[in-house]
Amino acid sequence: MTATWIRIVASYLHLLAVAVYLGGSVAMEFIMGPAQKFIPPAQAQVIGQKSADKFLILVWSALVVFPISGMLLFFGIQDQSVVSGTQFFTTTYGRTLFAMMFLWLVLVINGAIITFIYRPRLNQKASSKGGGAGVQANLEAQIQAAKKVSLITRIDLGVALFIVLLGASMVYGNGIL
Amino acid sequence: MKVIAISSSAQTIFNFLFSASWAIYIGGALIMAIVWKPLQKGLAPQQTAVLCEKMGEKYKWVALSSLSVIGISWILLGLSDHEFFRSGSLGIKGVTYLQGAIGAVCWVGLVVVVMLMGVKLHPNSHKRASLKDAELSLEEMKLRRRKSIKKMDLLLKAELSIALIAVFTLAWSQAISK
Repeated sequence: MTATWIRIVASYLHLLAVAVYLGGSVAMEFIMGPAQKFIPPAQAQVIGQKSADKFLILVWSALVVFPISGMLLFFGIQDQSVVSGTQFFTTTYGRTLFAMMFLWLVLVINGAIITFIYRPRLNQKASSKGGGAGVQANLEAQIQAAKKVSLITRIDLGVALFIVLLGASMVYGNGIL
Repeated sequence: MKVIAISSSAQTIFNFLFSASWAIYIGGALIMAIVWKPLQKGLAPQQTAVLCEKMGEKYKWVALSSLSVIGISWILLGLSDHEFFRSGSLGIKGVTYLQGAIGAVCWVGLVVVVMLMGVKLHPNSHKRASLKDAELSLEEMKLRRRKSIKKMDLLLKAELSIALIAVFTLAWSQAISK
């Protein structure tokens, strides 16, 4: 059993991480993103890059906090035998917890794809290499990358909402899977 | 004792709505404070004004909708299954009563702050000169706008602080109920 104050701190961090990830994604995608259409494109791109860079730091911090605070919370529950051994896969509680872990992994993979594949493409400066066709190709690649980032962000948002539903089912029952 | 009887599936849904709304509300407030606020320093004033106006309008509705869902789902969850209504020691009941009271005060405080910002200060800071303001000098108009923006900054800090206290209360109640 974990001490009460450790459970309070873990729960606080866990809730804040959920807020940063879920609420942050909603704010970035549905509040900040659409507002950028009302300013010149060059400025919108600069703002988009700067805000996304900061948001990615918050996202990765949240993704790191989830398993640590989650584990501390798990050690705080009275009946840990519900997920010991094979019960991890045979009980509703165990399966729900496993699904949450799996979906967390999906969020980490999607986060890595955005951070290491699409963000560098979006941050690329326009160069005159290859002439007009090169600039055009670069611009096309950036537009495609922006579309993919938006798609992955929305998928992540759905996944995060499902994780919250799974978490909610564990508070008032034994899970839903 | 349960004041109202609802199934555990309904409780799960109410808890999901409560948690998701909290997350959306606080996440939005955090993004405004951590991402958007520092970004404004490097922007031209006209662009900041446009972005502030567009984002503020949406944020107001997102925040008010989230707070409404939080209020309704919280009441339903509280009435259907709350430590306070269960049989238990007076000490535990006292703590849960205190947590509930802090939560309720925070919720009312947040609604007031969001309403003040969304209905009064935010529109004031983006108000364009009208015939009614014709007698006001340009300087006076600017001064009025600056005052609104200053008050908004102060309220944003208050909003974030209240929200963080509310999350702490929630974490505290979850940690001792397990």
